[in-house]
Amino acid sequence: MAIQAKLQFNQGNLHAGSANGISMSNGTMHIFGFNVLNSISFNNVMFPFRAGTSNVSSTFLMGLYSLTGSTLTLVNSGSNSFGFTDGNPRHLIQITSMSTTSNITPGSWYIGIIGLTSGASGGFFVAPNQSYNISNNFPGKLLFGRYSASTTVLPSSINTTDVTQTGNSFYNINIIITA
Amino acid sequence: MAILGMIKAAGIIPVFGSTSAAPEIFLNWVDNSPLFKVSTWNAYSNATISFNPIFVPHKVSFNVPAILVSVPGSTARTFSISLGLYSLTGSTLSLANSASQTITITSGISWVSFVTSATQAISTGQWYIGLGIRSAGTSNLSIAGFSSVGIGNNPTDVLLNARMTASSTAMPGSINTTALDLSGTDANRQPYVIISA
Repeated sequence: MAIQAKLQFNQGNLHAGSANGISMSNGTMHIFGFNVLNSISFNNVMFPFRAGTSNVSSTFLMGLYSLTGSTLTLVNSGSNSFGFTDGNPRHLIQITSMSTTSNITPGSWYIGIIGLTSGASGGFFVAPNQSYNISNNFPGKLLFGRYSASTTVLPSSINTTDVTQTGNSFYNINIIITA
Repeated sequence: MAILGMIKAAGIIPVFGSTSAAPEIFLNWVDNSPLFKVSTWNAYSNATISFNPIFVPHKVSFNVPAILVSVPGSTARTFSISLGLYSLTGSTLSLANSASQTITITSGISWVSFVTSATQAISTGQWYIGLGIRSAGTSNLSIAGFSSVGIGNNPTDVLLNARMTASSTAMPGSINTTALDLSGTDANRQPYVIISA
């Protein structure tokens, strides 16, 4: 009888090598690619985040995207509002209310995150490494980047030509998916 | 039951399914360590080929192998870079595919990809990447990678990081692991390598 492993969590990492994190601009969608080696339920996603200032409330929109050709397509999404009101700017943002119940099948997937903070300039992903100023796009399939247009909603599809990969966009943040 | 307990403790829930063959899974990319673990910029030894392991968890097409390099200053420099995909059987590394590139870089950090010699779907398992860089003049190029540990002895029964003891300008078709330097800081340098479909 075949046994298919189903993961309880898919953890990129939980390091904080970058002291200040990687800047997340308000209304900019950041895109991160990741590989899923075994299927996992997509109903609980977390990432550590540091607010740009204290006592603010932020809304985070998160989309799960697949890539076919040069098109990222939204397949699931969720959101959460979070108040950084306890004096500690660093918190683990948790998104649990997904638009649909689904499993992520093994393969390469992408997560897009938009942060919206009223009256503030955004914040920082608590990241495991520094942001390197890369001068050219990754020559293979999309790895990471920023959606070039400002947006307050998750786009249903994105062409990868609209994803900025150069500049300080060496983004690879802590993203934890738990079943 | 003990086995099931160990599997669950390892963070895996076994799901008993049908006996039908699972569909082939192709990843968009595979790298030898997650990008976020890149921690340093490694120098290279001119015309010396290094070998480093890469685990392929699902199939990936050998289309765009790439590394991340950094060049300081503002003077254009030309480098010839070769990359080989090797399998290990017994104590012999055998070249399965190769790619190369000649690049001219003036400054900054950039991706460098290679022109592959043949298409190949790399199967799941343990592989090795051979990487060689040659330059006529300055060797002032660094490769994004991972901090090296100057291990004083050779590992036994397993090939980890290594480099050829002889200078070479081409990827060898095969090489016995006895012809590799396995210890010391230079042999244990590990570049970040990504293979993208």
